[in-house]
Amino acid sequence: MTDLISPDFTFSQSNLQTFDYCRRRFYLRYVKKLIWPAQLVSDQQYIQDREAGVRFHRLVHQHFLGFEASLLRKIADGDPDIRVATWFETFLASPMATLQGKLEPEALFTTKIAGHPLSAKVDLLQIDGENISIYDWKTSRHLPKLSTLQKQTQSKVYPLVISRALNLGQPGYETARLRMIYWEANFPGQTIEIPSYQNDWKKYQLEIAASIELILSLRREEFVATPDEKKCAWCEYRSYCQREKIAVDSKDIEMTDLLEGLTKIPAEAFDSWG
Amino acid sequence: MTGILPQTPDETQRNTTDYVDFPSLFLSGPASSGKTSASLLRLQNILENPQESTLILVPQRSLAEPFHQFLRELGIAEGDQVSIQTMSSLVRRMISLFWPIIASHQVFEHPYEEPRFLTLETSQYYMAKIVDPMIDQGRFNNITLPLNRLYSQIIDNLNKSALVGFPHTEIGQRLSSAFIGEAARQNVFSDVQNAVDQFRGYCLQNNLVDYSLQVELFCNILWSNQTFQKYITNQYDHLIYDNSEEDPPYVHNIIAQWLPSLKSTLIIHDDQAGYRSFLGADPISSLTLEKLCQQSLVTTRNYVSSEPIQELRDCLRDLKNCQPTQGLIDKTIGFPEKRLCFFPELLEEVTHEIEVIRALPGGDQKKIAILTPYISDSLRFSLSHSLETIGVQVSIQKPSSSLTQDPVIKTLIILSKFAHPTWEIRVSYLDAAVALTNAIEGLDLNRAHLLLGDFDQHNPYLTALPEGVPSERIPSDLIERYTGLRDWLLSSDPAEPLHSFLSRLFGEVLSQAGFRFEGNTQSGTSTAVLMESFRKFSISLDRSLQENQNLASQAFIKAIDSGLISALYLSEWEVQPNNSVLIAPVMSYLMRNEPVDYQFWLNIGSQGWYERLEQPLTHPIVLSRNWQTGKQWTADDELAYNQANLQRTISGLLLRCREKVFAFTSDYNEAGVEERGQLLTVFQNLFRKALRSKNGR
Repeated sequence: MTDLISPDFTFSQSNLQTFDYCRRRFYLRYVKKLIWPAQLVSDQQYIQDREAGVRFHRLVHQHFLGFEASLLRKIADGDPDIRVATWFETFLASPMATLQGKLEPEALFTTKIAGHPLSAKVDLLQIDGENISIYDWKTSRHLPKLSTLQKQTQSKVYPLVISRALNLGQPGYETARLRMIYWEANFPGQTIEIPSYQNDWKKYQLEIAASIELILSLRREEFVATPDEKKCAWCEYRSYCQREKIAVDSKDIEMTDLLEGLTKIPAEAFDSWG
Repeated sequence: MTGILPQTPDETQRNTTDYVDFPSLFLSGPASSGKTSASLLRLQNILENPQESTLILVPQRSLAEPFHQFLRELGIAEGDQVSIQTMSSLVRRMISLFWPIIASHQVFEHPYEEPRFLTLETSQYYMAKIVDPMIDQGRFNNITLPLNRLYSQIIDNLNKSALVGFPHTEIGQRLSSAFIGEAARQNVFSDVQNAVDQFRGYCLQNNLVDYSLQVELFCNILWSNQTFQKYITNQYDHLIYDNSEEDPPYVHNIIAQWLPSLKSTLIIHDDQAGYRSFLGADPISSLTLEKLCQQSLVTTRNYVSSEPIQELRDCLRDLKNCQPTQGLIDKTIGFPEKRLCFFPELLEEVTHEIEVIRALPGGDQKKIAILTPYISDSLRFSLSHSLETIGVQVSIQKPSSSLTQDPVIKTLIILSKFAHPTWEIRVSYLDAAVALTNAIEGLDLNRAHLLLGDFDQHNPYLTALPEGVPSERIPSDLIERYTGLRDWLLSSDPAEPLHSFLSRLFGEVLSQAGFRFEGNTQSGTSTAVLMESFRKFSISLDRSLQENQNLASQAFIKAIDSGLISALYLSEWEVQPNNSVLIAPVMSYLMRNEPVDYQFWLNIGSQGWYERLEQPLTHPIVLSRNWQTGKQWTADDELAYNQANLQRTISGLLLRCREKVFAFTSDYNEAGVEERGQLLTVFQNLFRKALRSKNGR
């Protein structure tokens, strides 16, 4: 173990995904906390998409807080991006709008893995009798493949954290099931569901604990840059690492993603600096 | 047990820990009496029940550090079981999430459109739009003030009305009725009222939500709403509210109404504090919470100061009836060995004393703070330079500084102007040369001048970067870099949003090999600060300006040039590294609440130790809840205010000092002016008394 990572460092799906993506990027972003505000993508579209996605998420959150749909429709209609109103109307017309049971929107859960906090902020947790579901609202331009989503750290971290927060790994819950549900506002009829059970959570735990332990064991120089230099085209540290010079278009990234089934770029990588 | 917790809690601390028997507790006492430590023990108990959540409320982020440290030691992620907030951050977040409730009240002209939150800087930008035409009409003509201060004082009035809880339409009348002076000056208060009314109207028309509106919307609309109440009640089971005396009355009102629905509440009140009164802090209002709590405890112990320092504090609180001994003074107060005439001598003496302390056994572990009412850049530079030459690490607490004082930001602004020739903003020849030397690796000022060519002595300005002037004295690689930078700037799209342009300029050029930002981490931070400042500015603009990014960028750069957008708020509230010497303004140090072994008080002759800033258009006391409306503010009131302020400051500093205070002054201050303020008089009286006592008189 090195002392690069402080004992209170909180792991999450996004920083673990970043580590998978490029160890050096993890080091620069989360350990060195280096602010390096070069462009991630060369166009404004991706930023507009993300901002519209954030506003859509807020409307859905407000829906689950109990606001009248008519009032929220007026807010959605007032949004400068017309897609937000369309997405919200699609949501209201879907079964997602009338989910039953105990509903916890935008809830943060934390557990401890390998001695470190591991947190998951879920869009919605539904506990309806024995049915427990984690919902994730998406506004992607292209429908991701099930295999891509299954490989994502999010699909493992969220069920693991929730299963531990709800004590589902204990004896007596052998048949317990968690559903991770990805609902795409642009593809409402094609909900992707990833169920998981006790055996899966044990597997996820081993996998994530191994990742965390690996991170904890690395020395500074062992956080090496990814050998796949194509990935540097959409990394803000590319000039710091003296790799690429110019950012690529966000559409190229999505196409690359779809065609080659590459690991998805961590969404938080697109957060603006500041 | 974690390192930050008291090992042997006293009785008051043990009682405070017990949130079952003391579910609604008001804990008061002076600073350093173990109140916050007791609250950590209580929090530790609460955390044993992982199903329950706690809100830690503090008036200012710097005061949250013990709670952050505690959670770090426990390995608990903030935001899960424990949320640490200021009321301002909570209000801002809640308004955004519960905007539909506000929309349904139809307060704004476009209620269903997104709110556009204003920062202090963007509020000033909009206030300028209202006040400037008024000035052109001859309003505010009795006041001589820099424009920025004029705008900020009017905004301050509006904020005070919300924080204290009186209608903003009464501001002018309240200020006017307290004013003693020329009748002609009275007109200015009606100008203030007029500007305030117009500003509020403009905000409501354009969905702009400044700080005062945030507070009013939260108190008057959100708080009483059932949906909101259901949400907030479900969010938190327990409340720990530290330093309640530093918050304004509206926060106390909210807490008073919140108390019955919480499982447990601990309110911590520091006696003899209220340092943020200029920001609306109201210790008297805070004390009203005491009678709403089921129990009340008082602490009196001091866990920080040595006995002699405590004795000195008691003596200074009642100097008339105190008989200090020379021994007490020798133990607690250090003076320069010789009379200091000029300010640089004072700095030399401070450095010498610190060297002496460091050389003592264990001296390198002692915590030291150098405190003065204001810290100028030259003081900061000189002191940190001289301390670093003797191997002492320095940590500087600087609440804010100007954007344009940062050389990276200044360079980016100048290069942005050259990339947007349609703005037609002139750049001085010298500024252009400095920007180029800051941007291009290996370029010095002389060669930068050569590259720019000759300038007209009568008009030493540029609106575009010239083609590089070849010279034998400039290496070809430098010319190449200059040409590359110039071509890149000229090829940029003026319609590109400024933050995107800056990001590309940084990533594609300035952080590449051959340019000075390469591998320079501070340049990344500074660029990000400028981008964020623009982003905040941009979201406050109306849609038409947002759609025309060239105009938005131009407006932003002009606002920076005019000083409207000047503040660069840094998160410099980190814990002082053990071996470093802290340099801080007195007020910032007090709000940091971090004791040290030795304090150096510089410029004790300065009136800045107790006087408020000159603010002819606003008044923190007259606009407070404790001022009788209609009463005039006299010279006696000012004197009493200053004396109380000085008392509070001395007491607060000594409560945070373990061993010794060094009181330093020079005959002439940094600006070459002689100063003979009240703090100097206090020390002189103290010595006279000690001398008399020594001589048996």
